[in-house]
Amino acid sequence: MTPRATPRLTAYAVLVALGLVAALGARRAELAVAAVPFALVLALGLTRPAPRVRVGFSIPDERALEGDDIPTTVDIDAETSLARLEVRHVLPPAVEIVDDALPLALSLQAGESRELNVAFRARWGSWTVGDLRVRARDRLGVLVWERRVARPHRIRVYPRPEQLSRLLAPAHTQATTGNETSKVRADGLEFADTRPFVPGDRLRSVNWRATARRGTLVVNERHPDRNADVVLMLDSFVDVGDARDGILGRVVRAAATLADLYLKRRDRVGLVSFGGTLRWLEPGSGPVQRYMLVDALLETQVRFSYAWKDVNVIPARTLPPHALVVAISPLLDARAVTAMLDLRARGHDLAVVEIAAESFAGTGDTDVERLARRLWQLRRADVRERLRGMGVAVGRWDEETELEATLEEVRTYRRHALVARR
Amino acid sequence: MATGRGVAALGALGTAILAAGLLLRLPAAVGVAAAALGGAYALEVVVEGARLDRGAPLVGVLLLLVCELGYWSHELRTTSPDEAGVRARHVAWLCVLGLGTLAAAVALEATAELARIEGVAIDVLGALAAVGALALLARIAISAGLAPRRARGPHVEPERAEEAPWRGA
Repeated sequence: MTPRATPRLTAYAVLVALGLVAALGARRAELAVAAVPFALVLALGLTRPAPRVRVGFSIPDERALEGDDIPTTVDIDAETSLARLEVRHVLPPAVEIVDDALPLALSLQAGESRELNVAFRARWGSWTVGDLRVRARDRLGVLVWERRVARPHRIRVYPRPEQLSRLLAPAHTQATTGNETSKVRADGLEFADTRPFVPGDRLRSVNWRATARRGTLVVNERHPDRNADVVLMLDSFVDVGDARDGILGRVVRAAATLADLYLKRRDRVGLVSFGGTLRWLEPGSGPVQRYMLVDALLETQVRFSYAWKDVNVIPARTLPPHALVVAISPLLDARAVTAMLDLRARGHDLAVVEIAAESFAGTGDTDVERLARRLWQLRRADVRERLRGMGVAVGRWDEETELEATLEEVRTYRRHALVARR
Repeated sequence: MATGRGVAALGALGTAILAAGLLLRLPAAVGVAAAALGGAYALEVVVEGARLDRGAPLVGVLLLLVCELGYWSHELRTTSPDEAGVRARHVAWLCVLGLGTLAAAVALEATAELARIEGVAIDVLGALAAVGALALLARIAISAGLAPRRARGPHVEPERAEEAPWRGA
């Protein structure tokens, strides 16, 4: 531990020196006697051995949901007596200590152990904690000893999912089994239609009532249950508002919710973070993909860039044919909007969840500012109409709307848009 | 009469410095205030006192307690909150410290009173003892390996050690 002088050391040394010099100069022993208490404190304080303490830090569960408490334990073993041991935790800005449990000053006897239970609460993301500072002091307080204790642990805080009962159904399904009722006709559960019997049809497919009515063999056709490919496209060009409830936070929360629910339906889910830095995760399914997706989402951040980007930079295998692309975007950056229009022009099944950005912009104090806001809103409405004009459903998600209602808006539009496309 | 006013002025100055230091959170003011209060006592002793003042140990201990309480007040406002019981133990420690240093100071004063010898030799011896005491304190401070105060900069988030599951540019 590194010793450091406290203000006592200098003050007491000066007082002792003044007392002794004054006693000599004035030939008065009382002045030297009056300096004795200070001299004693100095002498005893400077000859004390350095304190020895061991500090440990552990986190039982390094994964948590945003807003939940993350329990941690700080173990302290004092090898020497410590009149005052201060423990504090240096944390990333997004992590806070619940109930101000730290910093705390303890008093420990030699050989005494103490276990401090400290709970963290963190914003969504991946954070490194475990950077502890300890400062020990003996009773005389002439010196303090400081030490940095690094016990790094990485915590992963997932965004709290939104409540959703239904997801967006893709226009096309894939070949493997899943939970989405396909539009094609094959073996399945969902009734589709009837048709005349042809050689090779199974006997169990015969619809005996229709057969009796028509006098010829009629079989049932069914829709099979298939899985789908879903690509979540995150617009990470801009972020407005605070980290928790800002645009990027809402983008990540929506993406995490959708990814989790699609994966539960055995769909393949991929991710494209389209921003200053392009990052992607190819579609996949299963628990491993779920963890990779969530960890990838936690790493999402805005990287500012002037470079122009379009869909050509996205690898083709990240956007498989017949995949449903769900773009989650505030529609603030022209590069993201152009990429969406290009995707639709290339025939991708696209739906847009727009993160409402109006609440983050001021209403304007002057007429010019209010006019500028109206023009900006008109431009945003124009962007929405351009997307809708190409058959892309756009649902707005703001603070007062549930994601469920936004998706219902998208679903309603897609129902009519699909009819129109046919 | 003039001496009395001087003592009162120095005492008032020390008290004012102490109060200002506590209000403005300046720990250095505690030592300055103690020096002023000690100066008031020294003036009183030098000008008025003909005999050895038997209250000197008590004055020294009271000055020490003023300093300790002043620094403690400062620490309570600038450092981490204490767990339950630490303050009570500190109060008890201050009592022990006061009594212990009082005993040592009384013993020294009694020795000085018994060995009341005057002359150049005893003056030189006293000077050497004073210089020796200061040198000893300095030597102890150096051997304690005091490090200079480190600047406390803003916390920088540690670099992420693990690879993200991303691929891309």
